[in-house]
Amino acid sequence: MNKLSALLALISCLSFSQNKQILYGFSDIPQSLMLNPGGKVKNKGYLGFPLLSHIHASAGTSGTTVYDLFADDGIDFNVKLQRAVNRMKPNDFFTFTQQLEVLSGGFSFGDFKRKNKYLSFGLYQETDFISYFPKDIAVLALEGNANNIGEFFQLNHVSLRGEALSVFHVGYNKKVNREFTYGVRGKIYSSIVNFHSIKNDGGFVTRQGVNNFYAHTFNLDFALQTSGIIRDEDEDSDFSEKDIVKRTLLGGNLGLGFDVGVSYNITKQWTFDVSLLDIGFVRHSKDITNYEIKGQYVFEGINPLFPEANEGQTAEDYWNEVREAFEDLVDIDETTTKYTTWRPIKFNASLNYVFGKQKYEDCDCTRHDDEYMNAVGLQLYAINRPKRPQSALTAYYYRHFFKGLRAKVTYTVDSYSFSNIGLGVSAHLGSLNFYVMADNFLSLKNIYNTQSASVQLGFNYIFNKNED
Amino acid sequence: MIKKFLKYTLPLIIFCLFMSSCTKQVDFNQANDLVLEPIVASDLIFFNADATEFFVDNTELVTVRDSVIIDLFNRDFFVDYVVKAEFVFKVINSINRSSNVTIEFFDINNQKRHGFSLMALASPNNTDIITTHTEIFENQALDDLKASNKVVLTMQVLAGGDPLNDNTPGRVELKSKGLFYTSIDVSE
Repeated sequence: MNKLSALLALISCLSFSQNKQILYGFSDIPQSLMLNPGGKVKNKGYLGFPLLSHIHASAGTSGTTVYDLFADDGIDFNVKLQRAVNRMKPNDFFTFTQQLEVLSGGFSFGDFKRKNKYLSFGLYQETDFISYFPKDIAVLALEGNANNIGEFFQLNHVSLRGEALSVFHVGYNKKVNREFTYGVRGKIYSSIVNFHSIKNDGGFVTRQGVNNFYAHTFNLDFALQTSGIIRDEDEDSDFSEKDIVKRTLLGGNLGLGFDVGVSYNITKQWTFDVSLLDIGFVRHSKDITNYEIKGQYVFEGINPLFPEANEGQTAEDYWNEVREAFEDLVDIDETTTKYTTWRPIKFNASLNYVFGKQKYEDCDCTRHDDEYMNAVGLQLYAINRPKRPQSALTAYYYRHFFKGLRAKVTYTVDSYSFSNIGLGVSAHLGSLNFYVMADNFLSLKNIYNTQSASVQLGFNYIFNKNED
Repeated sequence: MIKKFLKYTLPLIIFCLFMSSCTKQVDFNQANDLVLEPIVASDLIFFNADATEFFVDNTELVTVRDSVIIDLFNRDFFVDYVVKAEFVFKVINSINRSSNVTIEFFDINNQKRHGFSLMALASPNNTDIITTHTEIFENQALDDLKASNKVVLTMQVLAGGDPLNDNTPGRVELKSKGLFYTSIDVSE
């Protein structure tokens, strides 16, 4: 009972996206290098506070919101559920993403005078989940097939993928000249848990029959691959929290990947940058259980008196044949075949314009350190998802306040909504840096009615280039 | 330092407060009200026989009977969730003999729990004559159905009309379907 409401709450509310439109390009924050290894570096070095340097959670639903379903409005829950199911499309999805930096740091190196190279490294843990809305399955569960004769219930509506993994990474960034900076980041993935079911096909249909009222056609092709999941029947296994730690520290299913990125100063005030993240795979070879259902069968009922199949066959034989056919049909094949998953590749690009140098209070001249106070720009984000990529377009305004406070406001259009306003601030107190950012401010009047939300925050110790 | 705190950290705290401020009334316990009520339609039994099939070894086959052990109605899912069942039977007869189709349900102790029959009228000019029958299972009848694991189907060809032999024209066809009304209270 409680489990169910928790599950529903989780599915409908904790569905987040991976887009970090506020952090992207926010080069005062060292973690912006995680979104573009070839981004600009503004510090000599930094150390993230262990476990506190980057905390990110985001969720999104392209369809119904928590409020649609659970509003305390006196309408019968079943009516609301039916409405939500009718309204949602099979391409609607729920997502959830969470990241936690365990360790991170970086330092510049190179010639004594111009340290134009930068090495950053760390370990973070990530959870990523996406499920498309299995519309046909939901309709079948709510209505049954009796009023849906001729309706083909498609199994490919079931499409979901989830994983928890840890990522060890080392990034190299080089400012080649005034215009051009590039960077790469190598990653080792250690998968803790993975499951995916994305290539399902076939389905079930009840049509008008020839020999009987109906012909029920089953054509099932379903597969679910999992690694790292401990099942109930393995209760006596000695799996414990230690194993999670072990899997986090390279003891899980391993994979490799990389990020690349560049920044280019077109003029003094215009810059362009682009990055590709998580081009990589995980090879699952340990703790694997795969499930497969594959079969075809057409059922028209039982012919007890005059079975055509076989002379002398009794109704009993006939029924047994039907039962065996059904058992074969829904028989779940369990295998431990190794498999490979690709990480969801992310793409970022932005075009930026900086303006407004700070003026001295007592004269009309500008300061000659080249810090512009404002920036505006457009950012494009895309992520590869099982059915099709999701993308988002962001316009932003960035402002440098006082010595130690920088803020960025974003407006984002994506699969979730056309009204996503985000805000991030980064405070620099001497060498201490604290940042926090969140989006979907317009929906915060009622957080339950929001279709997506994300929060990021973190603490760093930064070795500044120009000590102020 | 305090000034710095006020200048920088305070706005952040206000920001955080703003973040966590607004929700409207929601009630997650509503999930307990969830009741799934799908109506499942399924074929049951059928047959299709020419008049000549009732002439075996030079004699009229007056009674055809068979029984099936069906462990479906007494399965947990069926017992727990089916609240009403409707069986629809349709006989199409073009043989000039009337016949009686009887369906009986027996429990595990071979006790008869339920039964009904339908009459297929003779077709003197061999056109299709359609007879339908709907049997509704509710209350006691539904309990009897849920106790059953054997179904016996008997077809009796009644006297009168054309004799049955290798040249008798016409055929008899039976179709049937079940509509199962379910109520699945997920919170139970």
